[in-house]
Formats: sequence, structure tokens, C-alpha cells
Amino acid sequence: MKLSVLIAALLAATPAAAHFGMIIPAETMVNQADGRTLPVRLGFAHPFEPDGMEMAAPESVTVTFEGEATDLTETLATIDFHGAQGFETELDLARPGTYILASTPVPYWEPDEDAFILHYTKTYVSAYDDDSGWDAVLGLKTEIRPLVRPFGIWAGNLFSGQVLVDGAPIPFAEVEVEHYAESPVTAPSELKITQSIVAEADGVIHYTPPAAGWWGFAALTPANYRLEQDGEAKDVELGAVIWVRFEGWGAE
Amino acid sequence: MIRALCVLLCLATPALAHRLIVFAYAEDGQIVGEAKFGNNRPATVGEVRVESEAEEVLSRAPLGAAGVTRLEVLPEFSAGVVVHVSTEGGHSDYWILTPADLGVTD
Repeated sequence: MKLSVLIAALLAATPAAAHFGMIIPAETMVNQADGRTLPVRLGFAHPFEPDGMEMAAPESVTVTFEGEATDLTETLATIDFHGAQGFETELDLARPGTYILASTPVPYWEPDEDAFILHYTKTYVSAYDDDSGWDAVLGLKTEIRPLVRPFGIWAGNLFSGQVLVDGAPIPFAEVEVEHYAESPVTAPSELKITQSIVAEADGVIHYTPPAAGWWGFAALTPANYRLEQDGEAKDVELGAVIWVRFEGWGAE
Repeated sequence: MIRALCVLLCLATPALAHRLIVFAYAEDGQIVGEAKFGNNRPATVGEVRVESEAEEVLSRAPLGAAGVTRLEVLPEFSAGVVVHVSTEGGHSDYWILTPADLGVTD
């Protein structure tokens, strides 16, 4: 085998390995013709490939509407999420407004990084043309506050958010951005799979995706505690993940 | 079917920046209609019409204070209704109530 062919084969086989907690509802804007329930999938994956990783039953999954949280954890059913265990549930959309889905996982042990990963993941859904409440924060351990309405946004629009840990902005937080490739996309290099940005001094981030579809933003910060693995204390990476769907210009 | 009508209405209703948002539900033998604008201010000047799928007006009332209007549920509503709200400023929106929403059982 020629060396160039071998290199090409190895590159194609090696995932870029940015981990993302994922909450993917079937729609981000629901109207009356769509019905009053909405399927939602949850997973833990490399979204660009997409390549699933085993997701343990989360500690909690909630939906928050007008400041009131409802626990959906008991409604979860297991599914295959891109080759690994994920979960699904169905969201009741009783009245117009913004529904915020959030997942708190159990720590994921990543031996390759010798650390635990804990991604607090959320996404926003508008029901029946009402976007009130789109900028709400949930008070998660860490989260990204949307500064641009996180649905009904065009591909090419700027998305902005603010990285929070314990409710406080995190200056210069590291944020990974990745597309959830529901349809196959070829990236000519690994550096083009996961985009990297750094928050400003007030924790504010900005990013403009080049294409329509789901884009995940994961703000990564080290936890101020460690967890035990095989008798040793290990680092914990906290992720504040928000999933935003960008719409193609003119798409229905 | 009242659901099929919903699809047609959804396609026909333009979205406006100063849009009206209507929601309705049945409670204690009444339809409770809520109308507000996209900025969360209630719509208070206009009319609520309860229509059949065939667009026959079955009941009507002026918009109530704070954008909330109550209308008595009539036997003619049993096949499901469309609750239309029209404001004097020309905005309109609707909410569909199915027989199940109205507590009608087969």
C-alpha cells in the first residue's frame, strides 16, 4: 500500500473526538399543525461524524416552562443513538411559549483523557409562534445564556451567548463548536470539525455557522472537585452545552 | 377534520413582527381565550369568534380585559371549533380546540 493511501485511510478512520452532550428535539419551532407533543432524543456523541458513545441514564432531564421545571427523567426510554445507547422522550406542549430542555448526566469516565466529563446540556423549543422566555437561564451548575434567540435563526446569523458557572460569567472560557451532521459532511481536516473560540472578558461568545442545521456550543471549564476512578482522584471537565438549530435561508 | 383545517390555517397565516398570539382552553363549561402580542402585552380591543370547521360563526364576544375572554361552551361546539381573535388594529390569530379539548367523548 502506498504511504499516501495509508495516511488517507487512517485520517478517515480517526474521529476528531470532541465530546458533546446532545438534546435534539424533532423541531425547534412547533405550530398547531405539528400536534401538541414533540419527540426528543438525547445522546452523548461526537456530533460531526456522527459517532455515539454509551450514555448512562442521566441524573435528570427536565423541561422548564415559564420558570417551572418538570422532571422528565422517568419518561426516558433507551434508543440507539448513532451506534451507542441514548434516550428518547416526548414533550407535551400544552400552551404557547418557550420550553427549555435540560439534561444533567452522570459523570462519563474518559480513559483517553484520564478525566471525567460532565456535560450540562440544554436546548430551547418554541411552541405556537410564542418566543417569550427564550433568554431564560436555568441555574444549572454551568450553562450558556443565549444572547440571541436560540431558534428561528438563519444560517449565517451571528449567535452570541454568555458562559456561566454557578451563575457567574467566566472570562476567556474555552468553547468548542461543532455541527451535528445529520447528513454526511466531509471535512478536509480535523481542525475543521471542531471550531474553537474563547469567550471575552465578560464570558460572552460569538459564532456564525457556515451552514444550516444543528450546531452545538460546549463551554469547557475544570471542576473545582475531583472524582475517584480505580482508587485515584481524577479531574472533572464541566461542559455547558447549548444546541441551536440554524435554518436555511428560505427553508420552510 | 378539525386537524386538517389547522394545517390549512397554519399555511395561510403570515407571521408579523407585531404578531398576535392566541391560546384557548376549556374550563368549567367555558372556553377561555387568551390573546397577547409578541411583546407580551395583552390584546384588549377586538373580537373573539368561535367558528366551526365550515367557518360558521357559533359564538362571539368582545375581547376581555387583560386579553382574556370567556365564552360558554355550546352543544354546537362538539365537533371542535376554531377560536379566532381579531384586533381592531388588524391583527388576527386562532387556536383550534378539538372535541377532546372540549371534553367530548365518542
